[in-house]
Amino acid sequence: MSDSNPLMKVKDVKIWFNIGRGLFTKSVYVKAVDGVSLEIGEGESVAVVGESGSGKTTLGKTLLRLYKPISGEIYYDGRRIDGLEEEELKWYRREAQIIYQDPFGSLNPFFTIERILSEPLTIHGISKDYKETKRMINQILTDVKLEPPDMFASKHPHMLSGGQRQRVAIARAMILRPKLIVADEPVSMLDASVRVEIMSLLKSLQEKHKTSLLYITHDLATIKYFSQTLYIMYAGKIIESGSTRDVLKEPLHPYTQALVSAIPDPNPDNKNRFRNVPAGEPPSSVAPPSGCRFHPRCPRFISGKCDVLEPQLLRVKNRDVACHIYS
Amino acid sequence: MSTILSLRDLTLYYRTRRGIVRAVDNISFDLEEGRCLSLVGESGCGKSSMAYAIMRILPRNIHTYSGELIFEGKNLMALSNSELSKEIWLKKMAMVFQGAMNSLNPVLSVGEQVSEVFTLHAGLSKIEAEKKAAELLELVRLPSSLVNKYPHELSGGMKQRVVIAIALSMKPKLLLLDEPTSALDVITQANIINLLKKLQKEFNLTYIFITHDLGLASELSDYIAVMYAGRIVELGDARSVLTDPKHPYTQKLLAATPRLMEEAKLEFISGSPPDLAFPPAGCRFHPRCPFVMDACMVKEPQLSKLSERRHVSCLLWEGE
Repeated sequence: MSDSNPLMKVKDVKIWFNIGRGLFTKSVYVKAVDGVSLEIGEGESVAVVGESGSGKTTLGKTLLRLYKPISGEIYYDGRRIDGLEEEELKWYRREAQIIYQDPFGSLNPFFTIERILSEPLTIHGISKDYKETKRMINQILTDVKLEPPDMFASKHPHMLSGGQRQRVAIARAMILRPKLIVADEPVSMLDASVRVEIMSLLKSLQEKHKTSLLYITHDLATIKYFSQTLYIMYAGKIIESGSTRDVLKEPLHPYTQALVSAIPDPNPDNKNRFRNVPAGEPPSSVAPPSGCRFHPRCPRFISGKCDVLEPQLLRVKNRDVACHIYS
Repeated sequence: MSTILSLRDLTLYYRTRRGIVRAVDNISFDLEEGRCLSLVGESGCGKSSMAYAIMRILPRNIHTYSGELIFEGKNLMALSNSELSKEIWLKKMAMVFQGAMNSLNPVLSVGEQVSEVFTLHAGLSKIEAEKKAAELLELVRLPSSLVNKYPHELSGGMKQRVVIAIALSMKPKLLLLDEPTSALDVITQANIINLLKKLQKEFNLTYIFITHDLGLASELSDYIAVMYAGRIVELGDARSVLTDPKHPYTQKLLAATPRLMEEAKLEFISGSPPDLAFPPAGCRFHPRCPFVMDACMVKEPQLSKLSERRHVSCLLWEGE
């Protein structure tokens, strides 16, 4: 965060989707991301946390320029990329990669693992001949611990377990040696025992190659194993950001407090207590509540303020918080 | 406290193209009324199959289905399907299926779907049933005005509440919950868990709660049964299992559970769960066990009593 020359810099980005333009009706927008700024340093791992519908995936895809923001600025390595057209982005496709949540849906079932991994090399014209391709594939399969690589290269995705498939997805993202990886819930579909293995694999590869990582998740408990910095999103906005340790230890925004208190650690005393969490669910991003978007659910709601005035991110203690109780 | 459910050597094998899948293998336990037993394990360990075996909702490719299944002193194995649906399902035991909230009928209003239960199973008139439906929604803390809404107008948490309401419609004593919060956000999940706790107190419900998350299991459980490859490897009161796990698999599973506050390094279990069509000989966990001994590869350990309310299936503890 404090990096003076970050790899990725996002300024006040808005991504709205038009969902209802008819001949006689007014445009209706889903404001998936509504004015978000963040930075990712070189080799840094940053987490974006939010519930479903908070806009975290849209934000991640916009960083990869899979979406074009309607306003705001995105800089990659000092170069502005938010307005570039697809043809102008080919170099960037090589620099930035994604790992999806669902290893069952993100790998083409008709392709062998070898073909899945050779495709990015072909598209970007990286390897000169088949021997070179083969060598690179064997290397990356070894890196993600799918050994012996020859055996895995000839398989199809359905022959692999969930954890093995996610290794292939990691290999595919890593084979181009990108500088930035967006990992969208990379472990949330995996079982407990496999999850930790994949987490440590991804983390060690990220550290080894000094790749920048944007870790998108809803699971606060796994963040500290990935990222020192986190941003909490609610209804398209960042409502708190700071160091992972500080935020988890002493969450300041009432929404972050609710998130933290909602997570059950395995503790037998849980049986005898009720979780102090707000009722209701995240608002619609078509017509978000006025003022602070969390106000209808907020236990510390200040009438006449929170429902009217939109809170801005302010420096409180060692982090940024968007909440009127601190202003 | 009286025992409401007893299983003795309950076994459920499926016949598949790859061979016989031993999903539930010789499971025995007793559960008292008003208590919650959690079945914890990774996907493919047989925990959902166990719920189906208890409910006697079975697919067609059954190879073996045997053992004793005693519910309130009645042997459910002896009942015919029509007796089950007349006397047991919904009325005595009900189940919230995994992902059930996505199985609500999109073209029927919530009121129609909830009241259908009363017209079909209790023979109520349409008007009476609708009144009951509104009451039932209030029970799960939903506004009764929801009866006129359609599933797509509801959030995930609301749909899950509707599904729980339907399961509770005939006032069952035993409720099987198969990952009831798996697709929900953490705050919504906490709200549903709070609701389940309140309902259990209010109606002295007995729960069998299926989850892969030990943290979630700690919220509801009086007892925890840890399953691995179709068998229970450890069974005990929740506090002992969570604070003093005996079976190496339980220990590993706990060490692999991320915790919010602790800085402890996470461990993982190398290898992957076995194929239930070809489970390893001896102890099924032996290929992944850090304490494996020669005997583990040949001798299958039995779930044996370690202390009052504590059962472990591991040769390390056998004969203690």
